[in-house]
Formats: sequence, structure tokens, C-alpha cells
Amino acid sequence: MKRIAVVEDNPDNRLLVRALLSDLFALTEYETGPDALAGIRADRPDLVLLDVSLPGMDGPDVLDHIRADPVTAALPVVALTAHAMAGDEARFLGLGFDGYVSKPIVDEAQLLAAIRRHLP
Amino acid sequence: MHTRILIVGRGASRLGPVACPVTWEAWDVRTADPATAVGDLANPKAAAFVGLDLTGEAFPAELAALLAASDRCPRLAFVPPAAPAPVGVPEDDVCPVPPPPGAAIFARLERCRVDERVAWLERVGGAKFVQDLTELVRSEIPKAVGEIAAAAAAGDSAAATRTAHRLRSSASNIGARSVSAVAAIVEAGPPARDLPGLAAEMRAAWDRVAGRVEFHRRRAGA
Repeated sequence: MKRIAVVEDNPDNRLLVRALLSDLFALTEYETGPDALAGIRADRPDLVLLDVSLPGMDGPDVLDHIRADPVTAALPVVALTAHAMAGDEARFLGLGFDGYVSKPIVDEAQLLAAIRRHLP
Repeated sequence: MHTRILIVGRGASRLGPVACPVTWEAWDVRTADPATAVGDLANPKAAAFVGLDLTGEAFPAELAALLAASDRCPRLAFVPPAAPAPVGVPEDDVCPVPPPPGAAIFARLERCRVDERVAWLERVGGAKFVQDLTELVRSEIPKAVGEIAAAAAAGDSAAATRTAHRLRSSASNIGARSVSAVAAIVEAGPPARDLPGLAAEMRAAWDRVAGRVEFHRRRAGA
């Protein structure tokens, strides 16, 4: 079973992602950027689902740290974000995210497609 | 491409600065009265609908039908907050503010949004998941609304903005779309003077659907 790190501070979003993905993937959940960076480095997942708006160290900062670390640099990272305006997807892909899923999640197929597109 | 926001009703022009913070400058905001709004809402080019002022206007049945059929996000605005009680009058004896015309239809639409979302949640996660999620949001949402009201009263715009992001996400997850819409406005950083009114609007929006969320929590746990 492929392993996904879910970095999300909102407990109901974590609950929803768990309901959608836990039968298909082994999930590890992190609430903060620093916890995620330590965990991902110690126990490398196959893909990271990363909330963009985390308190403290936000998603793009976490992504920068992931890319700067040779151990994690090549990890596919999919942005999970409530920024869903026109142009947001291009903006996040421009920041170095591999994929983009907007919240609220309204289509489980779309989430799965975004994950499967980037899983090694 | 501009996302279109249509604000309907008497006093709609006053909503412009509130509904369209500077960060939404690319959005095309216009106003209309309910009579012409029916045609506007039927226009497929109108990609978004976030404003609805029901104070003092009759609410056309055609408009309600269009809203019910669309996936746009209506937002009830300018519900007058209850006047403070005169000194010495017990808080539970304050005269109630009558609901604006059309409010019942609007509230029913909002409850439908919750029902639609819960149906999807139950399909993808089952009854236990619905029970867990509704249990979580019924405590998280009022808590966040209270925090925003406190931040607004203290003039702490930054705290209100931070909490609004979390609230927007939780409200969206349960289909409380008016709560989510107002939270999006707070998150975008409106002038501090608008925050108390937005906080009151947010609380009223939650009050309109909280019972429905509780209904689904009990049903899922039965």
C-alpha cells in the first residue's frame, strides 16, 4: 500500500481525507509544518498532501524545506487548499507543487486522480 | 476571466465595499434589484452569486427557484442585529427583530445545501463518519464564530482573519455555505469597522443551519 503524508491543521479536513483515502493508502497525519518536516524526513512517504494555509510555517514554506532537503527533494507534493479562485492553481504549480486540489473536496474522483497522477 | 458576483436587493450598493474587498479586485461586482435579478441569475455567464439582501423586498418565487437549482452560494446580508436592551431589561426579554421578507425561503435553501453535502459525506464515508464530522463542526464552528466576534470587538483584524480561514474550511465541509461566504469576506481583510457586523452576520448564518447539522448528527448516530 502506497504511503501518503497528510499535512493539515483543520481536524475536520483530516477526518474527511481519512474517510476518503484510508482504505486505499497508508496515511500519516501531521498538524503543523515543523512536525511534518521531521516526520517526512524520518519516515519518507510516497506523496505529500500539503495544506497551503498552515498556522506558523505555511504550506509554501514547508514545500521549500522539502525541496531543499536531498532526502525529500523529489517527493511529489500536492497542494490542498481553500484558495480556489481563477489563477490559484497556476500560482501554486508555479511555487513548485506537483498538483493542486481545492477545498472543500466535493469530488473524491478528482482527489484520487490528483494523487494517482503523481504517485511513483 | 472575471468571476461575477451579483448582489441583489434594496441596499445592495452598500454591500459593494463589504462583498468586494481589495483582494477580489478582479471580480466583476454588480448590483440589481430582485425584479431584474431573475434574468441575471438565469444567465450562464454569471459564474458566482454571493450576495442577497432580503431586507424589505418581496422575494420572487422565480428567484428562489433559480437559486435552488444553481450551485451558487447565496448569502443573506444585512439582517439587522438585535437592538441592545435598555439598561435593566433582562437579556432574554429583548424584543425580537422580525425576520426580513424572504428569510424563510432563504433559510430553507441553506438547509438544502447542508442536506446535499451530508448526503455526499455519507456516500463517501458512511454514517459513522457523518456522525464524527458533524460532532466536530458543531463545536468548532460556534467556537470560531465566537473567536471572530471577540477579535472584532477588540479590533484585532489579524486574529479575525486567521480564524476566518479555519472557519471557512469547516463551514464548507458541512455545506454551511453562508457561513463560509461571510468567513471568506473576513479572511480577505475588510476594514476593521466592518468586522462586528460581519461577525454578527456569520453568527446568524450559523444559527440558521445549526439545527440541521444537529439533526444529521443524531440521525447518523441512530
